[in-house]
Order: sequence, then C-alpha cells, then structure tokens
Amino acid sequence: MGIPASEAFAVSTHIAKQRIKGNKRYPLVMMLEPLWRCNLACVGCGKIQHSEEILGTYMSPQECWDAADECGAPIISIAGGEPLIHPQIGEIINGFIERKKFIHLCTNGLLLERWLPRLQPSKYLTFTIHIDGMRELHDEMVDRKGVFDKAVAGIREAKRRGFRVSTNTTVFADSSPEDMRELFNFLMDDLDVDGMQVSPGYDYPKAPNQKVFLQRPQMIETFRQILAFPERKHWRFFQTPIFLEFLEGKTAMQCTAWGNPTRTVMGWQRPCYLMNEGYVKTFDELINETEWDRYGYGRDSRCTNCMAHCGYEATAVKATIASPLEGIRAAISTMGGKKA
Amino acid sequence: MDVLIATPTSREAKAIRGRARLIVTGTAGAAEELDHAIREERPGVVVVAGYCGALDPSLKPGDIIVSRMAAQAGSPELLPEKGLVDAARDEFHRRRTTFVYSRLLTTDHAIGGKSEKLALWNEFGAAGVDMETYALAKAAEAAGLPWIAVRVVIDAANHSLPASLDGWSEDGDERDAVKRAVRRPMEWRAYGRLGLAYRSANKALPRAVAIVKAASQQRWERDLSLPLV
Repeated sequence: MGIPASEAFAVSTHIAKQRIKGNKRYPLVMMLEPLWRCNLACVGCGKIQHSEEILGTYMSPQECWDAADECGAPIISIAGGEPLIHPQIGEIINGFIERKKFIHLCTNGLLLERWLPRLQPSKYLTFTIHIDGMRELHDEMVDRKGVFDKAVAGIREAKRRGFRVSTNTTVFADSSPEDMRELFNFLMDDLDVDGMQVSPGYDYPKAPNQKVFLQRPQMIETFRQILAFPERKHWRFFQTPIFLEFLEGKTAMQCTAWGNPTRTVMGWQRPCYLMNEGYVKTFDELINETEWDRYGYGRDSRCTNCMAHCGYEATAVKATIASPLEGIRAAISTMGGKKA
Repeated sequence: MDVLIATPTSREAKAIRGRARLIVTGTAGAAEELDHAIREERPGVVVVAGYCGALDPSLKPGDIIVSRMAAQAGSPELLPEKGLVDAARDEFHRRRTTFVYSRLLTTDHAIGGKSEKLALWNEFGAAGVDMETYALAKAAEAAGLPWIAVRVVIDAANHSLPASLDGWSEDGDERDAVKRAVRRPMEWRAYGRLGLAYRSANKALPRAVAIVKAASQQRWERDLSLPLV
C-alpha cells in the first residue's frame, strides 16, 4: 500500500472544501521547520547555514500547532534541520495527531531508534527517512561514514514496531540511474518500506558543494532512465503518477509554490520552501500578499533548475483531483506495487 | 515621446487599433519592417505586442505575458530595459491586471502541437511562443531603442491547434480559416475552442497594450524629471 486512502481522502476533501469556499490559493502540505540545527552537514543542503543563535532557536509545541491551525493544510511535513534533535518533538507529533493532521516526519534516521519507543504508531504518522543512495553514495552525500547503516537500522526497527515508513531520495549529479535502481530495489524488497519519494536536488546557492546539482535537461534524462527500469512496476512511490511523468519530461507543469507553505523558526518563509526572500508573521500575509505569479520556471532564474516535489507535487495533486481518470490512475499506482 | 507598437498581423492591429502609433510588421521580414518604421517615426520606445501560444501549462487563453527576456534557439537572449519593465509591472499591479513575467520564445514556424510545446517548455522554460518577438526586439536594440514585449495567450499549452491550420498565416483572412474548418468536421471542436480563445485574447490584448503604453510614457517622463547632474 502506498499513500494511505485516509490521507488521500483528507487531501481530496480539503481541496473540494477550498473550491466550494472559492479560495484561489490554499495549502496542501505545511512544511514545518521547528529548528534548523542538524547533526549532519550534507553536501547539497542549503538549509542550515545560519548563525549559532538562530540554530539554537526551536519552535515551541504551541507555536507548531498554532501554525498548523492558522494554515489549515491537512498534511504537515516536519523537516529542518533534524527534527528528532528537538527535545519536544514527541509532544509536537502527538499534538498534530490529536488535531488529525497527517504528519510526514523527515529525518536522517540517526536518532530514530532513540525516539521510536516513545512514540505510538498511528495512521497519521509517517517517518520519511532521507536516503540518497546505497552505503557508499549516501555516506558521501551526507559527508559522514556510517549514516546509511544507522538509517537502515532505524527503518527496520520502525517497521518492526508497526510504524509507517517512507523514504525520501534526492537525486544529484553523482547519482547514476543504476545507483537509484539498486537503491529502490533495496528499499522495496529488503526493507519493505511503505513508499518512496524521489526528487532532484535544488541548487541551493548556500550548499557546500555546488557541483552536485543537475541542470534541468540532465534531470529529465536521468529520471527517464531511472523510471524506465523494468522493476519500476513494483516500486511504490508516495507521489502522483503525474509528478513522476513531469520528472521524465513527459508532462508540462508549472510550480505551485503556495501549495506547500513553509513555517520556520523565523516565521512564514517567502516565497517557498527552497527560496528565501524573508519572513512574514502570519499565514494570511504569506498567502495574500506574496506576488505568486513572479515565481516559477521561466519566471525567476532561481527556478530554472528546480523540479522539486515541494513545488510541483501540489500542481500534480490538483491535476489528479481535476481528472477522474488521473484519480483512478493515482489510486492504482499507490496500491499496485508488488514484489517482483 | 512616441511609443511605437509593432504587431505582426492586421488581426492583432485591429484589436489594438486606436491605442497607439501602430505598425503591422508581418511575420516574414518583421525586423526590416520595424527598422523602416523606426527610421520614419523616430519613436522613443518600441512595444512588441500580439498573440502567442502558451508553453507554460498554467496559462489559459487571454492571459498576459510581459517579456522577462526574448529567446531564440542558438541566439543570445535579449533583455528589455529594466526600468521599462519595472514601470510596466507597477502599472499592471496598479490597475489590478494579472500577468506573468517570463520568457518569450521565438521560433521560425508556428508551434501548434502539444508534444512540440512540451519539448520547448522543457528546453526553454518560456511562457509563450511566437514567430516575431526576437527579431523585433533585436531590431529595436540595433536602433538603440528600449523595447518591451507583451503577448496574450491564444492557445493553451495542453491544446493543439487544428491540424488543418498548419501553414495558415494569411494575414487577416479568417475566411480561409473558415473554409479549412468546414472541410474537417472532426476538427470542429478544436475550432470552437480556438474561437472562444480568440475572443478572450482579443479582449485582453488592447488592455495589456494600453497598460504597457502608459508605463512606457511614465518611464519616459520620470527620466525627464531627473536632474541632469
């Protein structure tokens, strides 16, 4: 089983309600960064280059819940930094579950085994473990040996305890299609993860190594090769078929930056999860006072090499909901993954 | 200061008519036509205006594109003057008219098919495609004039133009298009959609041109009001 039916239903009804209300722009996933401190310094990450004072600032549980209430998105993606460093992350998660929010907790897995005994499996909670390749490639991308083994151990333990587990793979210039094939087969067949997410890396100007990023034509070619492998049929993606077709260059899409608004320790980040033009205090300011049409492929040079799911998956979800045929295809694709 | 509006066909000129000093450049030889007009009219700014096909899938017929740059395969990108663009954007905002600020791609043939639009979108990331903007912008630059392009979407990225319109470029001759449509009943739906799109684009084009023209004049007046030292 891929995307849980309850989660897909929550998103569909959320969109229907927004349309009935006549809202032109509405969030689908709130990206929550309750802290920016991390226990890794990945070569392609541009998120954690802040002063020590900012890195030491954590959002309180109440601030996290208030942000979710203010935003109204049915899904919360908790990222960072490393969210499992946050001493109150368990409380934050439980508060979201009480509010019936679907949580994707994005973690590098290093602290997963420490937290698992303190959390309860729930249909609202999915651990999304960051895995960029098999052992050698992953440890190279996160710039530390042993991280792959630790993350894999965390995944196995989370699965054993009955948690829903997905993975998030960023494809970089050093990730060959064969590397990705081996990884996805391992994640599906050996670890039996519930689903996978995949996205090309965004060329953060602040990332330590600028050579790891693919240009857009290379991204399309790489994803065409990855998704052409015969095993593709049994890979379960926590993503819409339209988004995967977009990565292969088979479908044209424009970014929907307002679909995944980002709340950080500094406030609501404008305009999107990946670009930072400053912060506003309220969600209302973000959604109503941002000049959204300024951003996107062709419109802003910083978007030229962005095909990330935090911008385009919202477009794909809207297209899926708008077409009954696409909806059926998405349902089949999330349920259809079987072991080869 | 005179603003010269350069538009490729008399259909587009008809929509804009009465709003500015206007020349119809045609599609072939557009640059030469503009060059000739510049020498005769001595304008201060060139505004390239007309319809285009959308490559950006979020755009629908009647949506307005203001040029961030003009692109053409194998040629360096051309940038409109920043002050002019900023003035146009401010004026669009002031009049609460939505627009996108993006690339415009110029090709040497009409792009009517969905798959070709998709390939061009992936390669260039241009919001719209037409057959003249690049040549006209280049001619304006050669004459040392600031330019800006404003295009209105007539066919969306996910729609193909009727196949029987392939090669149709007779300036202003809708009767020929009607004859072609009558012969192809299977394409009547596509023609119907195009007709509706044409109506939307026809309404938006004069509005967009009026805004850009006003912005160009404001920009010019602002320059004149600056101290000389």
